[in-house]
Parts: sequence; C-alpha cells; structure tokens
Amino acid sequence: MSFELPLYLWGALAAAIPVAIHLFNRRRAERKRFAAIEFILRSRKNLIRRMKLRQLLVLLARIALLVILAIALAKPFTHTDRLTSFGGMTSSATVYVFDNSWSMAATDGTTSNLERARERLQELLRRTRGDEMVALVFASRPASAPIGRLTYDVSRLRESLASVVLSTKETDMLGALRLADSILSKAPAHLQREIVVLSDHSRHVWSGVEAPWGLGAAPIVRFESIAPTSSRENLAIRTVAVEPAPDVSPQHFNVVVTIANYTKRAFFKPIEIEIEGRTVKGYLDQPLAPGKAAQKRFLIKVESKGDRVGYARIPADALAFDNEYPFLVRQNRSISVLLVNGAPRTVPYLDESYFVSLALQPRADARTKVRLQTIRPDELATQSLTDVDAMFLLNVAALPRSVVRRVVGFVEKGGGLLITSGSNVTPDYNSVFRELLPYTVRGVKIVVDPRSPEAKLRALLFGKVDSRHPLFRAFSPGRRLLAGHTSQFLLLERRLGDAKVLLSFDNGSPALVERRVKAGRVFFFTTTIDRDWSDFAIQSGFLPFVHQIARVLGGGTRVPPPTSVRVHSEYPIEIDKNVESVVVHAPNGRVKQFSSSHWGRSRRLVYRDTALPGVYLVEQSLSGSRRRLVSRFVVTLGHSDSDLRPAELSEVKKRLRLGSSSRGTTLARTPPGQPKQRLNLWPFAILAVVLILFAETALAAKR
Amino acid sequence: MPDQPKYLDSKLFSRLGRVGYKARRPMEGRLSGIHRSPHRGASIEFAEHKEYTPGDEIRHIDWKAAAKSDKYYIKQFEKESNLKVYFVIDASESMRYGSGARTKYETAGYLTAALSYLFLVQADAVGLIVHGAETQTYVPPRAAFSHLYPLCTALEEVEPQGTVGVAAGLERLSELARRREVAFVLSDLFDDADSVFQLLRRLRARRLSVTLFHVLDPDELTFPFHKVTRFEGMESAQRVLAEPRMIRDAYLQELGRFLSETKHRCLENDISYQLVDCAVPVEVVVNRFLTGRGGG
Repeated sequence: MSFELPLYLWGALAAAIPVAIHLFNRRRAERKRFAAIEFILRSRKNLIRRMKLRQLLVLLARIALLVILAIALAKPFTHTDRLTSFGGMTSSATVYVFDNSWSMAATDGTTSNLERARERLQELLRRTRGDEMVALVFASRPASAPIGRLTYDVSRLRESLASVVLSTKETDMLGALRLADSILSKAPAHLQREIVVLSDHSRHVWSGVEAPWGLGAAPIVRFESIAPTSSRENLAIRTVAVEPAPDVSPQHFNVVVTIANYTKRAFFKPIEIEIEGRTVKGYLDQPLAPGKAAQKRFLIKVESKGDRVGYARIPADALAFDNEYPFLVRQNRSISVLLVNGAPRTVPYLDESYFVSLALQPRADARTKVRLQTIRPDELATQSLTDVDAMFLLNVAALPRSVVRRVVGFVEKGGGLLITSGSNVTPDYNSVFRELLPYTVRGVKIVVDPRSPEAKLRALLFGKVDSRHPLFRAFSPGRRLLAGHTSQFLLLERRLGDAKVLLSFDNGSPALVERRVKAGRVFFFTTTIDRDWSDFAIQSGFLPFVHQIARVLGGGTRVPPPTSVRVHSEYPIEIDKNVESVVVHAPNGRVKQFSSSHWGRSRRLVYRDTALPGVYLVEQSLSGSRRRLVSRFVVTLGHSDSDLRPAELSEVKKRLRLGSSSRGTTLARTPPGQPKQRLNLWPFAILAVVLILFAETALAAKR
Repeated sequence: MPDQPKYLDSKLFSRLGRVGYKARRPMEGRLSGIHRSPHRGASIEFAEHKEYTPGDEIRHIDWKAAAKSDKYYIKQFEKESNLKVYFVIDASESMRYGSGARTKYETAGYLTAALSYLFLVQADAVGLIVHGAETQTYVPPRAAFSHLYPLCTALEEVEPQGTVGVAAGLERLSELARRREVAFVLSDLFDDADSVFQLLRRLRARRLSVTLFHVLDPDELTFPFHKVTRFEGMESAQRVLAEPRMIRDAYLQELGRFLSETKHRCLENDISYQLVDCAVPVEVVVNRFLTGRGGG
C-alpha cells in the first residue's frame, strides 16, 4: 500500500487524544464515600465485563476513527492484478517515457531491448481504457515528445511507436521526466497522474537523475524494465586517442584505446587495431576487473600520407555499437621553421644560418617537409608568426621589448624557440628575454684560442646527455655522435622556471638547456651554431641534432581540425582557397553538397548532420580543375550509455523522492503480460470511518 | 437552661397522629396497660368460663350458669398489661451517610424518639440499645414519660462509626428481652444480613414482636449520580471507579433484589418490615407505620 499524500499520516497521532481523554477522565473522577458500595460492586461484577468491553470498544472505535481518517486523507492506494468493482478504476493521465537511446540496441541474441520495449508499450496501450489520457516522450538526448499533449487517441501513440527507430543519442532521462511532468501538469485535476518509464533501467539511464518535480506533488512513476539479464553483459571501447609520436618518427602514432568492463567477469581478450589493411592485436597488461576501465597503448606506423581511417575492436557482446571504434590518423603537416639570422655574412660558410639551413634542407624523398624562412632580426617586428612552428634565434642581439613580447606570445601559444649563442648574446638577454631564458647569462667563457695548436686538445667536448629526452632518442647512448670541440661558450648562472640541462660539456657546464613556457618550449644552446666557437656544425651528429630540434620544437602552434566529433555535434570544415563546392559523404552513403554560399568569406563550413556514427568523407572541388581535396572525419558515439548494469531502483526512487515516505510511489518490476492497475483504497477508508462513527455513537449512547 | 437533645423534638411529637400502638399479641407487662396480657386479670372484658375448683374465689362463680347447668363455673376476665419496647439502632459507619438534611442514623434517631414518645404516652416501657464500634449504649426500659429525655440524650451521644452494627445490638437484646416484648430494629442492614436475621429469628422464637425499620438514604434508593465517580466504602476499604450512568440499572436491580429478599425474610419470620426513606418526614413514616398495621 502506498500513499499519495503521506504527510497526512502524521494525523494518526491524533489517536492519542481519546486515550489521553480516557486517562484524564480516570484521574478526574470524583471521590465519594458511599455506604451501599456493595451493590455497586455486585452490579459491576455483572457489568464489569460488558462495561470494560464497551469502554474498550468505544476507545478503540475512537482511535480507529482518527487513524483511519488520517489514512483516508493520505489517499492510500495499491496496485493489483485484479480490479475490484469499487474504487479500483481511477481514470488516469499517463505519459509513457520510451527510451530509444542507442543503448537500447543491446540484445540477448534474438531481440533487441528496443523491440521489447515497443512490444511492451503496444501491450500497455491495448489495455488502456477509453477514459484514460496518454502521451509519449522519447528519452534520447534531448528528450522529445512526439505526442506532447495528453490525448484520448491511443492510435496516435501506436503510430508514433510503429515509426520509432533507435536513436544514436544518449539517454536523457532527466529531460524526459521533466518533459513528462510538464505534460502531466496540464492534465485535468480529476485524473491520476502517472509516468511509465520503458527502459532497460541501466545505471547510465538513472545516473545523475534527480527529482525534476520541485516541491510539487510527484506523479506516480512506474518502472517497466524490459532488459533480460543476458542483454546486460557489455564491454565497451570508451575512447580511442591518436597522438603523434614525433620522437620515434613522423609516421609513428600512439593509439590509446580505453576499454571499460561492464560485465561480471574479468576481461582478458585481444584488442585489435586495424589500419591500412593491417591488424595489430594487443592485450591489456592485466585482466580488466568488472566495473573498471583500462588503457591499451599501440604504437603504429602509417606509411601513406593523408587521413587514414583505423578501427579499434573488441570481441562481440550484448551491445555491438561500442565494440568497434573508428579513428583517424592524420599525417603531420610540414614544419615551418623561421630562422632569424643575427650575424649575416656575405660569405656563406661564415653566415650564422648557413649550417642550419643546410641541415634542414629537405631531401627529395624526405617524408618530413621542413619549410624554411630566414629573416633579419629587424624584420621580426613585422613578420607573421601565424604559420611558424619553430623559430631559431641565431646569435641575435637583444631585441626591442615589443618584438620580444611577440616572441613570448608565440612561445606561449605552443611555438618552439631555439636561441643559439654568439658574440651578440650578452647578459642583456637576462632582462630582455627573462620570460624565455632557461638560465641567466653570465658571460662568455673562452676555453682556448681556436687558432692555437693545442686547440683540439683543450677544447671542450660534449659530456652528459639527458638520453630520456625526445631530442636525444635518435642518438644511441653508446656511440658518441654528438662530437664537437668547443672553444668558447656562454656561462650560465641562475636557473629560471622549470629549466633543465639536456646536454653538458665535459667540464660540466651546460651546453643545451630547456625551459617550458606554457604550451611552448625554449632551447638555449650555449655555443654557436656555426663554426665561430665550435666545430660541431661540421660533425656528423649536427644534422640529426638540428632535425630533432626542428621536430621537437615544431610540435605546432596551429590547432589542426579535429579528427573526430560526437554524434549530433557540429564539425567545422576548413575550406581551402579556390574551392567551389564541397561534398560530404555520410557513412550510410548519403551525400550532401554545399556551395560557396554556405561558407561565405569565413571559409569555414559547419556540418551538422552528424547523427550517424562512422567515417565521413569530405571532398572539396577546386574551381577550374578536376582535382579534389579529400579529407575525412570520424563521428563517434558517446560512451556513457555503455554501462548496461542494472540501476539500483530503490536508490533511484529515493533520488526521485518517490516511495511511501514521500510523494508518489513506484511499482516493482512487473512481469510482462501482467499489468498492475491502481486500486484506490481511500473510499474504503472513508466507508470504514462512517461505519466506525455509527458504531461509536451506538456504543456511547447505550449507557 | 441546658440544651435540649436534638431528638427531643416537640414539633415532631406534635405532628404525630393520635393513632397509638397496640400490640396484636398478648404482651407480658408488669404494669397494667392497654395491651392484652396472656394472663387473666381484672379487666371488665369477659374471657371464658372455667370449672370451679376449690381455691377459686367464690365471687367469680357464675351463678346463672350454675342454675342452668347445675355445675359451678368461674367467670374469667382478660388481663390488660403494658408493653416493654426495645429500640435497637444500628450505629455502624454506614448509618452516617446522608444526602439530605438527615443522615440515616439521625432518621433512625428521630423515628425512635417519635415512637418512644407514643409508647411512653400510653405508659409502655421503652428501652434503647445502640451499638457502634466504640459505643455500647443501653437505656433500660422504663414507662415514665420522663424517660423520653434520657432516651433522646442517649441517641445524641452516640456517634455512628466502625463496622459493628445492629447484629451486636440484637445479641445484646436477646440477652435482655423476655418473652412477649416488642422490639424495633432500625438499620440499613448493610451488615451481615444473614446474622441479623438469625438473631431476629431467635427473638421471634421468644415471641417478641419485631419490627424492622429498614433505613435507607434517597441516594441509595435511586443512585442519582452522573459523573464518573470513585466510590469508596464506608465500612470497608473497598473502592471502585464507576460511571454511574452505566451501572445505575444494574445497581437498582441489585438493590431491588436486596430489598425484596429482606422483605421476604421478614415475612417468613413474621417480622414487620418498614422501608424508611430518609427523605420522607419522620411523622409521615410513623403515621404510615401505625395506620398501616391497622391502628392497633
């Protein structure tokens, strides 16, 4: 038995009143000495049982009267399989909340939960009486109401139900309940308000759902669970993250697959990565315990250029949607390096940037394309840094403050900066480049005159190397590729920020130091990058050293377009120059064409038709040419609906403030085919009150 | 002038009728009076003839009868005697109860005084036995009218209390009374009625004329209470909480049973029974009693 207005139950405490009156009357009795007490005793002897019984009956009648009256006011009701002819048939206004989120695709091998829910609702609708009003709400995000107004026309619901398809959206139960409550608020006052939720009632469905009905009276909420236990065993790929591995090679990528185990058993099966026709299998380091999530990292190499689509897969289970996860590998773009030559010379080999330019000059067959641009320091004030990935300040004298601010901004946004030493680099740097310098500069240290005969002997060699740093991963620790004789270098003094030494001379002085500045990083080379102070530029290790510096520093300041978005999210398509039309191919083969009127001058097209998960192909047709620019993006499902483990309905009821201790109530899970009907008990209670009132009057009057 | 005893109520006496008490049965008194005696005496009323035997007085020979029958008969006449009346009053605690102007004991006292007055007027001897828990008052019977004063004084001196009641008084009477005397018992009979009637039977066996005045208060007769009351016994520690409205019928039923049983036992033992309602004036009770028994 449940109560619609349980607060009235407190009224049952009024049952103490007749008891109190009874006790008070006993205490208040008049005392009288009476000679013929024997007759009273004798008469009481005869009457005592009857009197006591009658008094007890009167007292009980009064207590029962008040208790049952309080119960009647609390409007008790129950649910029964069979309705009685009296008081059971209450007209109701029912909103059916139908969960059509993608988790309802879970199956036990024969029928999906969505089909089960559809059949169940059809059955409920067949049992609906003519005086009942109904409405329908879909619980996929955002909750929508195909039948948003209460109607007596059940056939409209049947039609909507027949056409309902599985949504790729997640569940929005809170929104659905809010919508249902709003629909019910317009129901006629005499109708009993009820919400029937047809869902798998998995944890994700009720996660974070609170009572949407404020302080008002809650409707009755019935949970119709249609998910068999076998459809709840689910493993899910939550996310796949693709990160370039520039320290390995530009063609290498780290693919990090996050697996969640929502089954009752530990998971230890292979995880597959398929890309470019190749399949890689891997296992988690240890079995994945139930209810836990873990990551598996794959290092893959992509041979071909452009966008490559890959798939992460796990073995089949109840819900197929989250067993395969597409991802996109986007080859790194070319690195743009800006060389600021602080000591230009007309003689090439004396020029400060000569050896660097030679080192970064791309070969024809090189996979990494480095775009070089060399400028003078005074040009830096006007130089666009938008497309620059790395900037090399080669023996540049202290720059004006305004220029330095530009450089600082460039680094903070993710740009890479290399500062090489030379005669122009003085302690003035300490104040000018204080936001960027890893260490303060003290001054030039002359080890030996390079022209002296013993220069080779006394010159400094490179010593300790931080081999864990990506910069030096290409160098084998055993082989001294980093050879070079340094006759002069800059002495560093005080450490700034999180600076650290990556390379030292054999006398322990720092040769290369690094400092991270927000998203970017700064390398400071304490000797020259040309042959002025060192012969490192003509050593074999110089070329890979400069290449690695360019790769590491050229991590990118520009934000590349995303490779994946969630379903029903917007995807921005950057339109290249001279593009006259764009065609987007959806995974289901549907094609959508756009012309320049869709993007205008912004050269940015927002694609919104991302309802289907999968790989989308974007073709940009150039005007006056048959060439097409092809790119791809991936649309993925949200992972929150993968948890199909059953929710704790008792806890849900508490959060919804349902149950007998509060407004509204819920039903236990109802077996299919046996719908329970509400039976109002308060008319019986009122009848009982009237009968008890008569009985009490008769008993009290018969004195 | 010393205070008069309250029971010596001249107004009450004046309201009494002229109907006297005449014993229905022969009474043995030492003095001449208005009552028939079992002995032949000197009254003018012829009683019977008796065959002459030597020793009889010759003046009583009925000569006319001798002439007719040739035998000598002696004419015998009735002897008239006075009464010896005992009043036995219950002075137990229950007799203190009174809802109106008088308690039951006072009603019994006034009734005794009124009847004593009447008896003393007709020269009958009146005695008094009042037995309470602590007081045992006995006033020997005397026929002098002045005896009314000590009687009334004795009545006033007694304070009803305790549980010892009329039964003790009757025992005392059975020791004192002789044959053919009159006893008036005034009690509410809330003592042990069985022992009371046992003693009364013993007195009746000695041919005492016994009249029982059953004195009850209007409260006891009608049980007029309304509110929930905790009743406490006057001669016992019994107490009971009752709602009078609920038990009135049963109480009256019990009382009726008690009264009819008492009447029935009186009838069985040839005891005159008078129910006295304390609310009824004493003279009315006396007159009703005297006229009710045929006036003599």
